[in-house]
Amino acid sequence: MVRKTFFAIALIIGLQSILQAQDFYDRSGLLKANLTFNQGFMLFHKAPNVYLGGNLEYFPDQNISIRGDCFWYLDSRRENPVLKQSTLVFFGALFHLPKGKSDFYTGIQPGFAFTRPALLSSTDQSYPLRMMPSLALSLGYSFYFSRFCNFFVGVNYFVLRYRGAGNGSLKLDELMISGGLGFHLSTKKQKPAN
Amino acid sequence: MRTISNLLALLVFVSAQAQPLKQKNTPAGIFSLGARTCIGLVNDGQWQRTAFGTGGQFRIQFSDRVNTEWFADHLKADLSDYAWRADTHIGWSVMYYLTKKPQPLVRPYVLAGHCFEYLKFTDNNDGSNFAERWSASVQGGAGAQLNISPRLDLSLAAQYMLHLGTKIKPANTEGVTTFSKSEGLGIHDHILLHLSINYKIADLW
Repeated sequence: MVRKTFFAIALIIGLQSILQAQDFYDRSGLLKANLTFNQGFMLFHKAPNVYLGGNLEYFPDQNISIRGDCFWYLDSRRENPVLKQSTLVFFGALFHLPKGKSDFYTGIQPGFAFTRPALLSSTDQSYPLRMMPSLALSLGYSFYFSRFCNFFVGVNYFVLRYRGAGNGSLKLDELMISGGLGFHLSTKKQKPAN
Repeated sequence: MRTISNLLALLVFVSAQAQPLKQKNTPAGIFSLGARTCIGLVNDGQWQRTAFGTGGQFRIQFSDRVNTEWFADHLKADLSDYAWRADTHIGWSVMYYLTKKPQPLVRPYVLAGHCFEYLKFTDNNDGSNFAERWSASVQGGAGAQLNISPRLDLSLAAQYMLHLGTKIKPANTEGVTTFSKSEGLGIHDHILLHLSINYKIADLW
């Protein structure tokens, strides 16, 4: 009985939240954050890497947001990983095309990577941790289903070269897929819906 | 308590950023903050490869058509397959807008300025084998500012940088990498292309 009551209350809160979200159309002043696991695919190596990624995003107006991202390399789903250690930090702007609760976005974020490749059998060379310039290109979609929560799915492409490897650079470009639940908060009083 | 007050201050700040920029008098005094990605085209020798880097800048506008950019960036490149270079620039440029209209979609500009550079060449196989130097430079170029919104722009610029400093030359003979430094000062140049994103934060005066 207690359980049924609990679920009924949760359902009512959920529905109320979704109904409130119908008025939620003006995204200027929105502050967003998320933390999720990311699946990466290296373009020049067979390495399905897993990252923990988070970002903080702010919308100064309806179509523009400023976002900072951070990705921590956790492990590879392959026996001989290409990376031993990697942390990527990006900061840039995204352009949004909002329509109702939906929002498609694309953006560019310059950044840095603190990377140490793993010992590769082909070169047998160990590498130091180095800071490398990087660039992230983003494409994605968010669905604002509630006043405080959203679903998102995105693809990031990272341009990254590790300089100073035995035979020149190591190309560490990576395509990363992320998705999940995000949180947002409006820092500005919302205008009433038309 | 301190955390709560910091969070409240952050909310007040970000809330202010959601409003259109309140211009006090003229565009003079507008302060913007941005990030950039750069490509360095150096023509020092057969061993030189294209450099790629990241950086940031802030801008302070002095009049309707004159803006200033204060930047720092860090670029890295291969020196053939036996060494690599790291360039760190810190400098400033004056930008002169070629159009009178303050907010057209595209606003071209010319720029000129000064910069300091720290350059380091490192052997791929031995991190303790390196050569470094500081240099001063002058730069000039042109760019275009794409005004995406009244507060945000995307700028693409190309500048020619002329450095005055000791010249470093790498060589690799029978697998041994060496770096030689020239006597006295030398002049060497490169082209720097950069794409930047800039956000207008406040009108300071």
